[in-house]
Amino acid sequence: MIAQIPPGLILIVGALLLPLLPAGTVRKTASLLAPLLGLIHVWLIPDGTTLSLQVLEYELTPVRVDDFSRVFGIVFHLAALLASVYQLHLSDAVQQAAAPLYAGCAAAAVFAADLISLFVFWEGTAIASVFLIWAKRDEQSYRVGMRYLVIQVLSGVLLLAGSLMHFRDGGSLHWIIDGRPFGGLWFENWGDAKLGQLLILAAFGIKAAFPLLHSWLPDAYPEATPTGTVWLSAFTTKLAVYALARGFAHAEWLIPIGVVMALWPSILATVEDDLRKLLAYALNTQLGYMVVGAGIGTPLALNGVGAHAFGHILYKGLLFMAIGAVLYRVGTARASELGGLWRKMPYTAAFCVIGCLAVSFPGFCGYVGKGMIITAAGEEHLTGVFVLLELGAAWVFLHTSLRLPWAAFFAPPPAGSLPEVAEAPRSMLAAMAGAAFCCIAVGLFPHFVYDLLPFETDYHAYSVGHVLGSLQMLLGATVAFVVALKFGLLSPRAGVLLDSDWLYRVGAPAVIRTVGGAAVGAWASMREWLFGAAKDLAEQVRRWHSPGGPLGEPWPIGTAALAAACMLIAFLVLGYL
Amino acid sequence: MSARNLAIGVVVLAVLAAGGDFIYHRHGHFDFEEIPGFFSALGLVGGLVMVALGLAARTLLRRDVEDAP
Repeated sequence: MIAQIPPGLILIVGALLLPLLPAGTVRKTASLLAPLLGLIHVWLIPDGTTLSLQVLEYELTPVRVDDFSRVFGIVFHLAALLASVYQLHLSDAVQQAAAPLYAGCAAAAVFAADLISLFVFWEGTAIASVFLIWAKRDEQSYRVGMRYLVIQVLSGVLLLAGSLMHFRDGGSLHWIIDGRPFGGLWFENWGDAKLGQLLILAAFGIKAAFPLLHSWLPDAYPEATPTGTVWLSAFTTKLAVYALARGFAHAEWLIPIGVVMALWPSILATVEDDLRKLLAYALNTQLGYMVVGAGIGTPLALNGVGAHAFGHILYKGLLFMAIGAVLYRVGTARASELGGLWRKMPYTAAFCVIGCLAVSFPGFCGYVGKGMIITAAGEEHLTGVFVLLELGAAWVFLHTSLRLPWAAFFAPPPAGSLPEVAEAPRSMLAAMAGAAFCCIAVGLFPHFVYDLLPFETDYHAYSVGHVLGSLQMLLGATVAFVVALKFGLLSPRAGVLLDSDWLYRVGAPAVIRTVGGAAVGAWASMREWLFGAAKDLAEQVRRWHSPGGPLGEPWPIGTAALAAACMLIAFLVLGYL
Repeated sequence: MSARNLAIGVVVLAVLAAGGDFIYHRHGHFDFEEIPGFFSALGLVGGLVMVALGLAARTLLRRDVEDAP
């Protein structure tokens, strides 16, 4: 019975039924039951389960269960359960339905063994998730939602086009098969890649927020509702990371891409005023670690992708919950307008601090996953990658684990007095408590997650060397933070930071306007010249051939015959030359 | 606890952690991991470099909210 139910289906069906239920306790209870039942189902569904269906003459396999899919399926359902608790205070049917539909599509996608099924759920996540942005119901969120939708749907279109081309070129629609569970779309060199593979990579790269393709992430996530961002942070990007690890495992060109992702967004996060945008940049950095892990592609690295995705979903969700609670109560998430809130929202502050420690401190979930990927880089003797990933860990600790809670909860309030706000609603606190518990539990008992991973490896997160090195680096970063505070270098400044979306939102239209204006001007000048030339020609014709003009006079027959004879003689001469 | 004492406490903890390299000999993947205080220096110097890069980025890229695209 359990094996006959596709993973994700319980969430999807639940999402479709929720709006039909009476608002209030019944609907809220159902909103918790769907992810809970889904979680139990994903946990219990037997390894090796496959469900296939025939579409025309093609066989599709929308369900294939293995360890790597299951670890993502479990954490997706766990995140959906925590986020459902977080939004229990809501009575907005749109968000209540769109959020689990989004989660259900993401959960179904990580079990899809063929590219067409993947495409269907891939687009499902795009369409369902945009409603979490539009649910803010203002002009700004509408515009941002449209930009988000265009980019996400474009990713799906590229995936479909790439899949069909891949199939046409002799590839299989089944990108995951027994005997080759990873690397089904792999190519070694860019010159060897076929167009279909490149299009699929572009589709994955957009959702994984590759450099220059990433700007939808800090653009959209801060514009969703306080609850919507918690959902958004969990699924889309991790689904893309899963797809990269599945399809392109051991593609070494992913490593430099991941390293850039792990570092560059940190620079913007350090000075970003909007704390939800800061978290979006921080999220982008951790995707970089996972992309590096996919690129390294060894069993330890791929285990690291799964373990880090698991931990990252938990602690990033907790941080978005805490800042979402601040936004919900205070009405802003801007560092320049916040400070001192630990006195008014002490529980939220405490949960936020746990989430911050969970980023990379020993004893918390971020430490046990990220360390695997860094160690995998060390084992492969990737010196530069190892150092840069260690550096990235220090950076993210500084801006997310230190600056974020300081700005929201512990810095002096900007107006000198605290706003009169209440603690977060009980539903939000309960969800934060649950997420904080998971962050600590996974950190203290990492084998809970390690046992779910696809490969047997001999990795010890809590060796003395690992723990000491991490503590040294994090405390070094903390001293850097103290120095920066002492000299006022991290004082928030209101404003926005331009990102690469400037290129297509401002730069490209400006270029089009400039080039278009020049082309219109050139066409007008040319048209004026042409009309002028035609007018001059007509005037000359009129002058020469009008009555009284040199050629307008009737010529005598003899003169005409003489002219014709001269022309014939000229032709004869030319013919003999 | 005042902010000053907290800052001093952080510095003391960082120094103690760095000193751990003289008690425990790490066997890393690379030789440079065995340099005493390597990870402490990476965190400290790396953190300061990031703050400097962030301030430079803010100078170049920051716009007022009303001028945002």
